[in-house]
Amino acid sequence: MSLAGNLSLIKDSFCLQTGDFILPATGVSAIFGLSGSGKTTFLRALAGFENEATGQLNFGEQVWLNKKKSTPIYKRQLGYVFQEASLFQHLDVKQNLEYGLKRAKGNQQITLNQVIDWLGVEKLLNRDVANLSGGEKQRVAIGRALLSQPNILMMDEPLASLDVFAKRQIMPYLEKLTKELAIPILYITHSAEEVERLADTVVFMADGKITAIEPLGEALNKKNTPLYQHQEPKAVLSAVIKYHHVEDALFELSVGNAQLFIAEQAKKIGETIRLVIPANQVSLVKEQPEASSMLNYLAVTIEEIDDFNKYSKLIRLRIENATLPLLAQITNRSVQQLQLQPQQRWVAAIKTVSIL
Amino acid sequence: MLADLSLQPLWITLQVALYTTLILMVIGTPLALWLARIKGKKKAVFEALIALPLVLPPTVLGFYLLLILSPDGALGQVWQAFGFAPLTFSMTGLVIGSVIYSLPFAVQPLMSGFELLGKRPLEAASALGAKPIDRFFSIILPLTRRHYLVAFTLAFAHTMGEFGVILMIGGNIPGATQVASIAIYSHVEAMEYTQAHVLSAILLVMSFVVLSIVYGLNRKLSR
Repeated sequence: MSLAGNLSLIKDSFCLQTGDFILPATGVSAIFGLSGSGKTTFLRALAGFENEATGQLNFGEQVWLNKKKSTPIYKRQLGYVFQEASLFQHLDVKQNLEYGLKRAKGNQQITLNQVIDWLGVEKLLNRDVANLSGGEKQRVAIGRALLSQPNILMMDEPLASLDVFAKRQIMPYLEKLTKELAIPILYITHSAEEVERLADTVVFMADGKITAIEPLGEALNKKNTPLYQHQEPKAVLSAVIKYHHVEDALFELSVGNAQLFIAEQAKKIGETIRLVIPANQVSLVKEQPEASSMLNYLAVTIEEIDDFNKYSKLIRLRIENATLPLLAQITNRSVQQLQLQPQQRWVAAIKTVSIL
Repeated sequence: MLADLSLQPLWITLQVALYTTLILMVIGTPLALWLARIKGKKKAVFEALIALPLVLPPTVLGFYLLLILSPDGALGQVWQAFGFAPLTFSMTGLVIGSVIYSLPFAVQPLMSGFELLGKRPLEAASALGAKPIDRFFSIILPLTRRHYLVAFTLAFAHTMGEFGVILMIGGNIPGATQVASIAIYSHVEAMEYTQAHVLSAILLVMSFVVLSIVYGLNRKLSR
């Protein structure tokens, strides 16, 4: 079921004016924008926490908000994860998890055991919530929301209040979760990295307005994407693990019709992973050299050449049958010397590949 | 001399204090919840209104209550129209007066408790499917239990020591409206110091025991 509507809200000096929107019915929609762009207010208005919000909102067939009525939050069957875990201090971890479970309506789709498994909270069950670390608290909060059997999960920067180590520790759980869950997930973040790792769709916000709702591929690769302001351009590709070359400690991946090698990871063959390739780590050669220490040469077609800065251009390259493009930052001098043009076929030599 | 001593005033005092406190817990809760939620000028006005009994001389409060509760007063008339006995110089009148007199002692701790709790736990609970009444009993009450303990104790203790308001609206009818504080006053007036001593000592010990239990409970709850 998709969440669609149009919301307005004036709160102190801030004005939320979303315009018409339809959020996808499946996958993770990242709500991305600078702080103060209205992400949290928007999500809170979607959930029904902002009583002054006006407009209309429908979740599938259900009317959540119109001129006449507003469905109470406890009837909306949504899961909400706040920036701070907001666990109930008077209950232990298990009781917190069961709070929503006891009040859930309809069929139980998500069981306590599943949540314990997904979020690795088994050892925490009988602990007092005051004694948990930040990352543990947030995992319990996510589990608690899931056990209320929501039809949609809303998360407001669940990693924002965590330190780098806790973030690293919780991220794999989130990735696993987004793959397992059938319900739509709305996820606020101002981190481009979290978008790359988790999102299927990106909802861009600025000054209280929704400026665009785009599939990840488009969002990442459009010119001047707000995702990478003040950052070096890079491409995010989706790859499948094909072979494990045990003797070399390398994984062989397929991206579209091309092959890539990366250092082996704690992943399984057949898994889909996301790769990041910075544009300044990609160069173009006419043919793959016979002798070269570099491992990764990919056949590509030039799609578009854009100005990037004073001395270089950003070139969008397409790997055959790959959904997302590759980016290369090439000096103006080379572009002229090689007479690079769209539609030409080249080989991209890639120095650095990192996985998300 | 002790033959004249009646413990009836102590019993009346306890009854008035207990009823008053229970009523205050019931009406103080929604009032404090509402006060914790509103903001701005409205809040200032209503907070001031509720705090009035703290600063008004009890005789002033008692005087106005007497006017309202008396058979010719606004509330008294309605009350009697329903066929009830007059409110003034009755136990019911004493309880009504005490509820108003002790209102700030119940409402203020509860309000600060609710403000401290904030709306976040309640938002979390409602997203998890809890309805308003459910939220009160599963979240608000357990998380503000210490504030309830303080509110209960202060309201109870304050009502036990009440004098001026009760004298104005309840008079000094032995066995009906004569509470301990007034009985002690009467004994002193009549130069019956022994009786005054005994009643005073009992009140002193009782208050001390009640407070000790409360502080003990408070320590236990805070763990």
